[in-house]
Amino acid sequence: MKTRFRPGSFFLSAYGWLFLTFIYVPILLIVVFSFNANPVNMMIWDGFTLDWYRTIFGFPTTLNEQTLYVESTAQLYSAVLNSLTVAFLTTLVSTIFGTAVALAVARFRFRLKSFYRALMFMPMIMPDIILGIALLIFFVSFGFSLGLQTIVIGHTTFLCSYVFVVVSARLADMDESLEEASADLGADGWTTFRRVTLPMIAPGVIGGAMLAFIISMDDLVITYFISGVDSTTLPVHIYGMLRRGIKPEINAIATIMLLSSFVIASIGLYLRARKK
Amino acid sequence: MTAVLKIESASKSFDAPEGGKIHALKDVSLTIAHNEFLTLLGPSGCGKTTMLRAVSGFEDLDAGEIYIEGEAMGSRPAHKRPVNTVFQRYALFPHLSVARNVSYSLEVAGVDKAEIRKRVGDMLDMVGLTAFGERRIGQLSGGQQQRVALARSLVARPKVLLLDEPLSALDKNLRHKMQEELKGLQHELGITFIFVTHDQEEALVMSDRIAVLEGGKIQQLDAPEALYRYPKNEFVARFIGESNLLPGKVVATSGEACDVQLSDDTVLQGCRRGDLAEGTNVKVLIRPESVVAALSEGTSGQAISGTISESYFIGTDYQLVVRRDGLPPFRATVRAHTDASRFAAGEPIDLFVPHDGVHLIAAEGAAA
Repeated sequence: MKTRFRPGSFFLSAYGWLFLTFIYVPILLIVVFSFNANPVNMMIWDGFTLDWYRTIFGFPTTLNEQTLYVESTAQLYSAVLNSLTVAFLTTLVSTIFGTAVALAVARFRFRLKSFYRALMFMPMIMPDIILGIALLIFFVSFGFSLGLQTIVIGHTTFLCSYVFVVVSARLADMDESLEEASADLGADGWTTFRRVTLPMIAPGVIGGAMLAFIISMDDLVITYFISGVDSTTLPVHIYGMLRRGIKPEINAIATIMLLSSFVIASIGLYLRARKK
Repeated sequence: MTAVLKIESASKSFDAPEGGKIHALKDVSLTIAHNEFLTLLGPSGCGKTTMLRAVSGFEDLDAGEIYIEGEAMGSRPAHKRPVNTVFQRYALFPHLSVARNVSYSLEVAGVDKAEIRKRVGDMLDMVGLTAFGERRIGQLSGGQQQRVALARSLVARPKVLLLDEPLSALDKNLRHKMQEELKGLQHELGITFIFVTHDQEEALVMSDRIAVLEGGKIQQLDAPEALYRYPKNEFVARFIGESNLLPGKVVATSGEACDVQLSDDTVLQGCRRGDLAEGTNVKVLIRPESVVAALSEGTSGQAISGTISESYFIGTDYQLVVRRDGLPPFRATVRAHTDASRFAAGEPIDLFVPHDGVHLIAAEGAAA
């Protein structure tokens, strides 16, 4: 079939391309600039280099001393380690809590159930800055010393909601009669959960956990308020670096973070597709 | 015959979403014998599924008690009851293989591996799925899934197998085949089956006894043939098979027989009286297929004459709707004769009702 030129479809596809451009070009630029050898103005291409990556990993570079911006790789590493520790603990706790609440809301009838469900959604729609301030006031007034522990508690409070939402969606798809069948075949509540419910909702639980991990790794605003002096996470550290000007190393760090998120998200999507 | 299951004055009501109560079971009692195939039959909302779920332990009764082999179940949870269920939509575990589905109850009970392998193998042989053990549930057809569900619920040798409309998801041919297989399996295993359905034909074909439920009560509990021939009330008469229910009155009694006057003044003589007294208002049940267009020699019966208003040829028979002043439209299924012009719409016709084709039901609300 021959297609005639039609202005409508032309504009539609032009619109589509423009849309994608605005979303992805900035991200693409960061990746490109992370390989740019120009140390002074990163908007001007000055040849390909891996020096910025070498810098952040502490390898020797061809750059002279003035162009090095990362004060110490030790600080950067400790920020990365902090972020990973927080993300790992937060993911663990909020996955367990979020899944438990999702199960309770989906499987039991109790008073104020819809109120409870609404409460679980609240942290997702609450502005981060307000959550951050609220948590800070809470921690200070109850005498918590700010540090990794407060970041873990803070992240857990709102990441439970994300896990809850993802697992709830999965539970809504699950046929409840499977649990009845299991009970009918002689399995008690725990056995049914272990052998039937959990395997059935596993993609949702894993998906929720990955989402929690990525968001925790990524969070700046809330963490900014509730982190202590020695407990800087990667986003907070980058923010600190940015205040002294945008430096090429940041592009390299951003590219690595981008790649990690991409890999985690891909694994998540793959697992979901396989289970369906 | 000893009772394997006894339900004593079971009552259960639910809160209706629009307020008030729905009485799913009203003081129902039922005793089921070993190796019996009992069907709970009724329209949706009659309480049959509630009854099944009460036996399996998924619903607690408001009042009454359920005994399995003499043991009171009380509020014993589902996983501790010696019954298994075949669910309406099978509820097979999609994340497990066919063999693991079947072995589930044995694994949970901690039966040793060699024993499990043997029993699962035997079960799969029995339902004709020997080669399918490693398949996933999603790779099976509806009929095969049905068999897996059966195997899964039979492998632990329950005292009673509960089947919740297990054939309703199958197409018609497969359903007939599975009906035969189920009946055969039940005979072979000697396990009591309690089968829930709203399909009266299915109930008639398979059951030893049928309990017809409506409004949370057992309307009648009888063997299929007795239920069909001698329904106790209008609901059962209408629910099972096609029926003509003509209003009438017992005008004379003599011993076991009585005469009934229909609303058009036709008198049917020599009807089975039962315990009806003279003067009782009755509904006269005449099945469309017990009517004949001509009496063969040696039989006797009364004629009802009327005019054919509708006539349908269905192969072996004609289905007629006959009208007569003073009577409701009357359905008759008569053999297709060569002189088919007799059964054209608009023709007058005499229909003969043999004596044994008439059954009297005391009209509701009338004194017996």
